[in-house]
Amino acid sequence: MYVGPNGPGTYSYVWLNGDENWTSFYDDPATTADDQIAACAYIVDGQCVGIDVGYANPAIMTGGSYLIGLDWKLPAVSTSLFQSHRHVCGGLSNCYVGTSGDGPFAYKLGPQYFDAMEQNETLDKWRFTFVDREVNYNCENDIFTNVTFDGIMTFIYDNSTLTYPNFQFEESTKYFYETWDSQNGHWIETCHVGFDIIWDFTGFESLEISDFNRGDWDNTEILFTLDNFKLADGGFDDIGTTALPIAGDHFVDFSIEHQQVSTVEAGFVIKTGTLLLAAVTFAFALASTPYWDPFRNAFKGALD
Amino acid sequence: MIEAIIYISTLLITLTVVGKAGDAGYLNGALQRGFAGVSVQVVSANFLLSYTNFESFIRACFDGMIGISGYAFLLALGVLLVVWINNLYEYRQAIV
Repeated sequence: MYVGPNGPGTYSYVWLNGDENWTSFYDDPATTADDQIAACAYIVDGQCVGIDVGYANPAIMTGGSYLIGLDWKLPAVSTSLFQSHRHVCGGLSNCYVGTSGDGPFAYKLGPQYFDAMEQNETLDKWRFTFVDREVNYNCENDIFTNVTFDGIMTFIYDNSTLTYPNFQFEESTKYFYETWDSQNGHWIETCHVGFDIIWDFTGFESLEISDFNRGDWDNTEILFTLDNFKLADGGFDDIGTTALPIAGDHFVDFSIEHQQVSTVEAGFVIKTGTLLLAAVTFAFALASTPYWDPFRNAFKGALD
Repeated sequence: MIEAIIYISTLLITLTVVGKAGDAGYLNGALQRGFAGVSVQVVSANFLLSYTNFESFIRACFDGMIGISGYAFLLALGVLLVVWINNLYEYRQAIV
């Protein structure tokens, strides 16, 4: 069993919040059983078709699904993470730790979050969904806006780290889904404050990740940071007062979906393609000299 | 380093495009040639840096992540740049 930094059962925790490390206050909220971990699901054509698809896909979700509680309305099985503020009253003057503002907000996740990922395969993309489930709004409510922010993804394996620091996101804070009203026989639109972000790795980065953790997702942790939140339209509102799913003093529902790629297949395609590209580039270099003109030679009869 | 390779490549392409256009009777004015050259350079460099994975591809080749194929490509790219620079010196255009 994986043991987190603060003892058994600590699969996730806040690492940074507004430049302060409040880890001891933000230890894993409640998730200790395997089925409460944000298990991965597969993304196919933009839809989650992974494990527990019977109730995890919002397109076929019914009201009964959220009786399960944690398997709520997200595309994949979800769990709860702490939002930015934590009410602790442990010798603190105002009982709260954490800050709002533009970040950084960083979470560290243990390998239980990658249970459904195939060993010995590498990562193509991840979709992380964050939704504040506690309040829903009319979908036309002005509380929703577009925000931009930066992302940093760090993989941790065998006491080494591999960091990709240059992700940039622009997302709407409106998380929209439909549930089936079985009594009246129609779909009901519901909106919450939330967003999903896609960490899309290039083929070369996927190979690098494979080389880094050897596809051993059972022993890989991640530390991801969301920072520099700004209003996308450059409005005058303070980002600190903008409704974000990770801002607040309760929980944010969180789920992960993944798309993997075989390192053997990816490696073959990339290396073979590169070899062909090298040959073409070399031929192009030769064709750039006066000694060989393939176009003139090819059309010699037609040109003469 | 990698960005420099891309800028040098696009500069050579730009000089060729502008040179060929000049040979064909277009872009006769210095202002026109300058404007066209800067435009081609900016667009092609931004295309390679922003809209393609060319930069990360070259970086992966340098880092050995693509193995001997990557080094072969870097060698071919180096030969291409040397040829173009030589052509520019000898013939005043990159591709002859």
